[in-house]
Amino acid sequence: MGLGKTALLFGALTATVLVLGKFLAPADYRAVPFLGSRPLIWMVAQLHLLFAAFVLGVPIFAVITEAIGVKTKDPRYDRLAHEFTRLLSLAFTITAVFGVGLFLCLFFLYPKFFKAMTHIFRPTYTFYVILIVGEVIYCYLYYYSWEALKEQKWLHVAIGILLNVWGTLLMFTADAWASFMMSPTGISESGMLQNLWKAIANPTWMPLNIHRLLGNIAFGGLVAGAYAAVKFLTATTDEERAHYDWMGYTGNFIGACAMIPLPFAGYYLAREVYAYNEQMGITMMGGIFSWLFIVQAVLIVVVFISVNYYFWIGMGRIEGGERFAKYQVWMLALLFVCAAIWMTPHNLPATASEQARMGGPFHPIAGIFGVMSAKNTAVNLIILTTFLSFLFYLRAGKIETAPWAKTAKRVQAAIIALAALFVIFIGIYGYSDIFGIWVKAGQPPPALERVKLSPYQVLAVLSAMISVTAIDMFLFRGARKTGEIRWGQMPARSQYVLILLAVTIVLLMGLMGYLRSGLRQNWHIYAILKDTHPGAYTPALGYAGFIIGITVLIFFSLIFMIFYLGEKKTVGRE
Amino acid sequence: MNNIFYRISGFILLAVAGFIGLSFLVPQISTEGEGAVKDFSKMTQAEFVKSGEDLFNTKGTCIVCHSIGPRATARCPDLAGIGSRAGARKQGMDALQYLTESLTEPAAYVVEGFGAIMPKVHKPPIALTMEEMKAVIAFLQSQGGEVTVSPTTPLPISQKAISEMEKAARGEAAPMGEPKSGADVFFGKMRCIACHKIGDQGGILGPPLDEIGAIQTEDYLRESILTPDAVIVRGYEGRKNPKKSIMPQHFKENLSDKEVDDLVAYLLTLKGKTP
Repeated sequence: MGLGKTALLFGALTATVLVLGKFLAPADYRAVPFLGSRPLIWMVAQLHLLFAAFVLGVPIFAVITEAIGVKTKDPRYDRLAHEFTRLLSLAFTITAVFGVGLFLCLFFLYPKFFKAMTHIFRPTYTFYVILIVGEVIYCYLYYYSWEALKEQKWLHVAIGILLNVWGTLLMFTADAWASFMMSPTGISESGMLQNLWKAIANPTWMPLNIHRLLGNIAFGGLVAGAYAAVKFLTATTDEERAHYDWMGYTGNFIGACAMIPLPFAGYYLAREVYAYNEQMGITMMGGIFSWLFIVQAVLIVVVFISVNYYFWIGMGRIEGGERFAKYQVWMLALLFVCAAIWMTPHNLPATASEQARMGGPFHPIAGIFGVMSAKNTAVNLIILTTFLSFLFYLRAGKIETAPWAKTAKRVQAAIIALAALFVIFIGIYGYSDIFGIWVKAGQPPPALERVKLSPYQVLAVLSAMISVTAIDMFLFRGARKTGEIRWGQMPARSQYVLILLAVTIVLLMGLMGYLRSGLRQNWHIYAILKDTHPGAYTPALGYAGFIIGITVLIFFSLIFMIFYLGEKKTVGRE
Repeated sequence: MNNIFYRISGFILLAVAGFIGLSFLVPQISTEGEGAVKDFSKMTQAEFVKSGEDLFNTKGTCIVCHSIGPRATARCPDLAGIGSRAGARKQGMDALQYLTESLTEPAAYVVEGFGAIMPKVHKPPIALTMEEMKAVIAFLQSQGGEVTVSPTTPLPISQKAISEMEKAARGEAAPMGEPKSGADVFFGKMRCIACHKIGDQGGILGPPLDEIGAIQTEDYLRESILTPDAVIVRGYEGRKNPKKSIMPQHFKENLSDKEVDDLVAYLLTLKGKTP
């Protein structure tokens, strides 16, 4: 079914439902038999968001790969971009199905909330519809002009960029609603709209936009990687295996590049949550959601270790890559130590009896060692290690020939070592104000000052990565090749790593969605509109994990279906 | 081919199952919602105190900053033994008065060495109800003291706090006023236009309202409608009694909560232009 027909069908459906809605008795909430309205809207909203990430992330991924293809004149990039754009039409339809489903859930099951949001954001709804239409038009234009504009590739890339501009504006609009629920501004205490722009540009809007934008790129790359992995595992010829091995590597590379700044974007979002409402911030990091961050740490560690592991396995298919193998065990050890530090709980809510059993409010051994100073240090070192893995991977098949190579490599090593030492120093400083700047020598700095140290760590790591990459670009210009990359000669376990990466990032998205919604606790709109649903409560992590897990399984089943139908469509055409 | 498909599906299932398992491994903390209203009146004292502890750890979010027992990084005072020392904290206040004041007016007395960072717990976003506050106080009294508060004990709470609590409770009724309906009330049902001028229209008995939305707050407007005597604009006092407004006092009786919200919403749109 085409997009136009689908849009018509859903338009008619929505109109019918709206008319029917007039005959329903007024109520603040309505129930759904068996499943219940809350799990239903949770799953529908999550699925809509995941598919929205797919239809927003894939065009970004496609345009990036297409542009690389134009620049490098490597036709594989163009084929990859085209292969993924082909999937968009079906993905748009599924996104629309869940979008309409979400709208219906809100309209019928949560009329009080829906009315309140409409009261504030009515003008943005029209804008949103216009953006959807624009996005669909540009998506069609992008896909169907592929052949026609094959001689004017930059023009085609420009269309792709415009498609992403529409998509990004679309996401920004929806983000305004979601972030407003969390940090409402522009309205009075009882919900009177005073300034629409202030309601849109609320404190968490831009951090959420940036976080989701980066997240979508990472998501697009890693889902592409997983797709390539499945194709690799089911490939029957060496040529196919070589193509999908390369595709998996490219997807993983783009995903990993977007993953690196994601923790910083997350930090920015968390900082704005604190700035908006300190109590909400404390509830997030030190209150009932603090265990969630331990689960999040596990997932992110899985992602980073998987990315590193994939690069290490990948070096096996490059002649000359074996010279870096000796570092891998040390890097793995460092990753595990950092992971252990990151997963050390600190300020967790414990009842009086639990505290009595522990002999105090902290863990008897870990004590206060799980504060953010240590965690930020661990995260930054993990990022730096991942960067090193990637650097080794890039160098695997080459030997530098520049006469100044030895000096340059020493400078690079010094930059990385300095950055690591600086990051560790700041981490230790968080425990002991050794210069006595804030309190007195030997005492930890106040929490607020400690938190402010984190950007310096980030700056050190980013500066190191940028300067080392810049040196590498000159260093390996005209380098001698030790051998070609033997695309397709990867063990099957490497492809399962790619699949694991995609599953993990989707689980992460579900988990953080639960956090963003759960943080509001008893409020639909924080401190403005209460959630008075008879079954309202903030679920514990186990139940949340179960709902997220089921949702992720449904998502992957549908993604498989999209890939399968996309495949059939191509075979049919051929 | 099928074999690989099953392997991949199995692998994804395993990864998701691992995640779900991990989610169940960590401590399970949930908070009750507004919908699950507890009937405190049927509880024994022990159950009442336990409910207070639950609220302390969940909806009240007290545990986020306070500790029961020493905690080096606690942002607020350690409440172990608060039941025994609350009565002696502030001169002229018994334990119940002190604890009530601490919850509703936390800035009134700040323990030395700590900042005045505690929010009023009866206001959003925490918004404990009267009964929930009693339960929390019972729990605090149980920390080394005698529990004197029960679900029926009246709290020594200020009128201001009660009205703030009522305002918070109104948050449940979705008071998003609609200016369009408010205009109907203004020009139609209540005929406010007969006394107040907007642009070229209206009477002169009351103050003009052309710019009222730009110069006054929602609270002020609500108060002016429901309690006209609270603040009387100079020049519009009653002739016989200057402390009595000439504005009719019957709005409270004749308007529903929704109509008041609508009317306020309409007035807030008046920012200097004739509508």
